[in-house]
Amino acid sequence: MGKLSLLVFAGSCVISKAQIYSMSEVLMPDAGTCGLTAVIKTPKPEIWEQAALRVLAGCMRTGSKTYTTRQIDLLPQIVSLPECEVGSGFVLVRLSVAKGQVAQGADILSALLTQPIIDAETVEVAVRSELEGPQNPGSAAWNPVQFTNSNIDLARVEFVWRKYFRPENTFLSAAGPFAKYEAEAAFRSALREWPEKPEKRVFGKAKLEILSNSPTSVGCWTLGSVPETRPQAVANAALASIALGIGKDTTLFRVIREGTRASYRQETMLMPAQTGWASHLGVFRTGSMVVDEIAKDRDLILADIATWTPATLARAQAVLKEGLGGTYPENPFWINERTPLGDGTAAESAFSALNIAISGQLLTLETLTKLSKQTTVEDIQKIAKNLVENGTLNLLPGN
Amino acid sequence: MILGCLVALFGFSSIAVADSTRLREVLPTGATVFAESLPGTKLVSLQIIGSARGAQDTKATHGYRHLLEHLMARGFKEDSDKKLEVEGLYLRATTFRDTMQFRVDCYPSQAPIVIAVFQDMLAGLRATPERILKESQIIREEIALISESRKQNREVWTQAYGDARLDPLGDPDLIATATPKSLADLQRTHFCGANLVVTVTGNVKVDEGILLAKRIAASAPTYPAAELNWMEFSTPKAARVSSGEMTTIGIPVGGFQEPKTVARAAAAFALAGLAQGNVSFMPTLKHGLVSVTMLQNEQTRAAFSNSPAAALEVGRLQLRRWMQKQISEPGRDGALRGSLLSFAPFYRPEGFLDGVQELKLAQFTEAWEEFRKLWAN
Repeated sequence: MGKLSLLVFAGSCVISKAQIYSMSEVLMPDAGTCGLTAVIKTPKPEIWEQAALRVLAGCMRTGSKTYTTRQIDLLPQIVSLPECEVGSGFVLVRLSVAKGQVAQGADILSALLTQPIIDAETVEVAVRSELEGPQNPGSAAWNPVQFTNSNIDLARVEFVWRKYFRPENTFLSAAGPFAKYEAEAAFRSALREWPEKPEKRVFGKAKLEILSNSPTSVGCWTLGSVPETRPQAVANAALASIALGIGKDTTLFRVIREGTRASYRQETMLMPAQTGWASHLGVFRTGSMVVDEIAKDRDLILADIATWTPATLARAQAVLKEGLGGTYPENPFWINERTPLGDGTAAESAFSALNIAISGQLLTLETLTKLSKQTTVEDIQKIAKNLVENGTLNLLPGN
Repeated sequence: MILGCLVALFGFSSIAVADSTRLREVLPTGATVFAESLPGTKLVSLQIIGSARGAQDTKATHGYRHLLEHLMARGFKEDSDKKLEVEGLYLRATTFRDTMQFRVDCYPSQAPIVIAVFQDMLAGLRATPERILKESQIIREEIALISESRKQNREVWTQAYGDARLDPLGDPDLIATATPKSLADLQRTHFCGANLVVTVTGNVKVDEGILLAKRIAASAPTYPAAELNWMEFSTPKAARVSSGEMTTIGIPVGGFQEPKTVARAAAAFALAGLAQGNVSFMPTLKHGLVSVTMLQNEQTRAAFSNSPAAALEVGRLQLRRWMQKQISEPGRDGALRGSLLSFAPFYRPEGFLDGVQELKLAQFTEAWEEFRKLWAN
């Protein structure tokens, strides 16, 4: 059982820096739901461990020994079913419950962390899914890794679960309309025995392939930058991401979609990396991907960035604020290549847990929105320009 | 034909039907305006829904409606998105087989901005040959991006209905053949008074919502309603499509509130709940389809081994939960009620929920067996 030893307060948030695990609360009195998240850090996993973690996440999606997903689905107090996602250096598990149901949510989450269903059948199903690789150009673009052998077995999956699902790797967070310390107490009461550490074993290597082609006729080129860690820099990067490619009145829409080459999908996003949030940009289209053409597109994008005005910034600020729980359905933050952060309490709990896990600092979406008001046009131009000029280019032609 | 009669009854007089939180009114133009106050919501959703009655895609025009959606979303002044996004607002535009829907969710104080954008969209169409060509290329890219399950769903509809219920995405080669005039005519039909529903739902008083809706509806083009009819076609059939481990099975259904439709929807939702599959079910006046996409695995096999009685309980729960989700949130509520009103003034989610509650085991068992046999084939 986890033991709490230290409580730290920060604005409307309460951080409980545990002796064993970390816990934060984000109080949102007006919210109608409670979001509960656990981030499990998986620092520097071996390649086979990455594969095994993805299989483990697949197993966890079927539920725990106490609550199968099927049983959870029938509970009226559940707002959204548990999600299990593997990111760069972490596994994230979250769910949402109705107001007043934090204890129930904490119990379900705790059971998932400490009693997941890991048996031959669920492992086999999850392995089959991983061997299929990314099924759409979006997933392939942001994580073009496909595991090509099936030696991820029950023993390996159980090993990584025991190795990483330790209290010292665990960052819990709750967001919603509950009383201060209520969620913390709920988790303290709900957390079961953590798994025993695994005995040291040597496993054979797993193989993976970096895809050289998109799984469909739609190819893509992407750019990725180094992560931003400081809260103000994360806010600036979020605004730059919006000005570049979220919505229609954006640089990518003007240059790529309305430009000379037809493309339906152009996007930008921020994804958690080992030390912060990394900016990404992607352009998807059929047909050949010629490096010279991409270079020209990058020049056109840079030229458009140079035309940004205070109105560009104002639009980005409005979209960011509303995208985090208002009138706009998107925001730039993603958990991994396939799952957006979303909005509301589920997003807030995931965001705060991720920030504490990856950069060791508390940053809530509310704080981020406030910080975004201090951003200048030059700040976002600088970040966007850096991504387009210096970002790492990945090319994944359609097949 | 049924709808033709309803239009005759309701289309040419102003009739208001209200309860404490909802108000529906049919305007002299034939347009329906609807408002609903949803307690506890902070946003209000404004939507225009154009019925495809008399404007359905044919083999020769497959995708013109989709192209129209792209062009209308830009606005007559081609600045819809610019006006909305600077306020943190977002225009959702969707083309279905039977409707085309535009939706913006906003704070009540922002309603005038949305109204102006919608009025501009209905005011006319800015379509040039160059823009048509460009959008046809973009739609080609859009179609290339659709998922495997979406492809299967499209194929299931084709198997079930042949060319009679064409996929709304369209054929990019045909789309490129559209002319500015053909699109302007299509817009006038699709959004003429008799085909137009305007909904305002959420954080709004019903009488104020009706006034807002009327301001939008006033911009609709007028068009002779008597000429508008749904296409008629022969009896559809059940369909099944597989690729890899994924299979989609679909069974044709009739009207949204018919007991057989409710039973088949409940069976599909039960299967999806038990086998972690996905249901596709779009309410229709008639000629609809309920489909479910599942993996060929042990979980799906186990789902079919449930007794119909056990499955019925799951289906009821899932269906009720789905419907409650639709009608408790302003945007979904407006979209669902607006599309239902575009079919028939008596179509209401509550009528469907009553059908779910009254569903008999024998009716459900029949539907369950239909899906089971289709899966086993």
